[in-house]
Amino acid sequence: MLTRLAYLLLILAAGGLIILLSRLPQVQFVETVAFEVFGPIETGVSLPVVRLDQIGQTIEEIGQLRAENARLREEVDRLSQEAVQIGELQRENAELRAELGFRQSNQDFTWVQARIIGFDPSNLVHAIIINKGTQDNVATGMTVVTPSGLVGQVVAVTPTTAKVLLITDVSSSVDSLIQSNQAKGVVEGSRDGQLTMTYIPQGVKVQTGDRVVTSGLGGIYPPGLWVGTITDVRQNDVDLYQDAQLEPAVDFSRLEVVLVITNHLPTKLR
Amino acid sequence: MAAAVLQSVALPHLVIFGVKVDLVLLVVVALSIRHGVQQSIVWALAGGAIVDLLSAGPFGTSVVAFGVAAVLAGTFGPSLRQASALLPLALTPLVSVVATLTAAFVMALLGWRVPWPSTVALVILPAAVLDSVAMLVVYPVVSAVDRG
Repeated sequence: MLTRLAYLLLILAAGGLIILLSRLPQVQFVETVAFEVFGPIETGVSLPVVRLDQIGQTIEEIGQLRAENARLREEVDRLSQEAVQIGELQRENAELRAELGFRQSNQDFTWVQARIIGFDPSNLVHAIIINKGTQDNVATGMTVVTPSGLVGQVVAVTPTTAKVLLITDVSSSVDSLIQSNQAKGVVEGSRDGQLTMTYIPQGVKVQTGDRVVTSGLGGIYPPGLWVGTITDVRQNDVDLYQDAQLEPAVDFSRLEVVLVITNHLPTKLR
Repeated sequence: MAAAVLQSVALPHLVIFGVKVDLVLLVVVALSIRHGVQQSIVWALAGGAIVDLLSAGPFGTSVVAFGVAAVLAGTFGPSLRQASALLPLALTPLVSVVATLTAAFVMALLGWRVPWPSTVALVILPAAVLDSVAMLVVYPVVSAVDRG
């Protein structure tokens, strides 16, 4: 017990002595020189140790990186999928907004939405096949539109599908009027997919950019549906009538979804 | 039937010169060249009926048009085929023109509006060119399937 107490006192005394001596400038100089000598040696010894430690860490990290890589790949796949879905949702949102706008401005109509499932196989007929038929209250003679404007008329129907003759077909004719001056005429389809408004009375001033809408005359189409915009006028003083070329309101090359107006039938079919 | 569905669903997205390939007609013509009139007339009637079912045009238009095409191709095709394997393909533009003209004529008879100048310029002639090019692919495929 006495011996241990002596050791303790000796250590405390030695420690106190070292602390006191270290404050002396001569001892500090020795300490600096020793550090300068041993520093590089210490660094040289420590480098391999650090490297070994780093290799160990790297091996450990490779496993983590693989897992991280797999997780990030999954994340990229998920985000790519989401990007596609967002594009599709934006398109669908725009369609629904247009449909809502059409619904608000045409509150008298009731309709069913239909998707285009095919096109007429003949080069002589401009028509589409839609996925709604008599089961969804679609009937022959009903008007087909999009929020952009008039598409055509149902000409044949089965329980689950219907054929729609487009207004761009050469057999199609739509009683229409020019919105700016209420001049009446008939819009006909053509082989090149454009529309021509014929039987516009002479003396009526027709300008490019004028909008043409259905007149409701004849009772086939409801009035006020946008048919197209006048792009060119052919006027000749010796003719009884003047003609106009129309750009269709609907882009038929991008048609995917249409609306069938179910509460309007041609007068003769009612 | 597969050719008719393909023609209705997929080919309209491949419109060239304002027209699409008349795939069912080409299959009928290819079979007519290989087998003659008697056997191919059944294919012509069946193919025409399916196309008419999918079309908003008057029913029977394609039956008549494909029938005429089968008679034409089936009459001259087999003898030309004996002279050269590829020579019958030269029939395609003629058969295409005759078939589309026949269909347009039938539609006009049934009261459909057919503006002849634009129908010839924008449908019949471009379709003949497109069908002739497409036949270079369709004929070997039909021949291979027919042999198999």
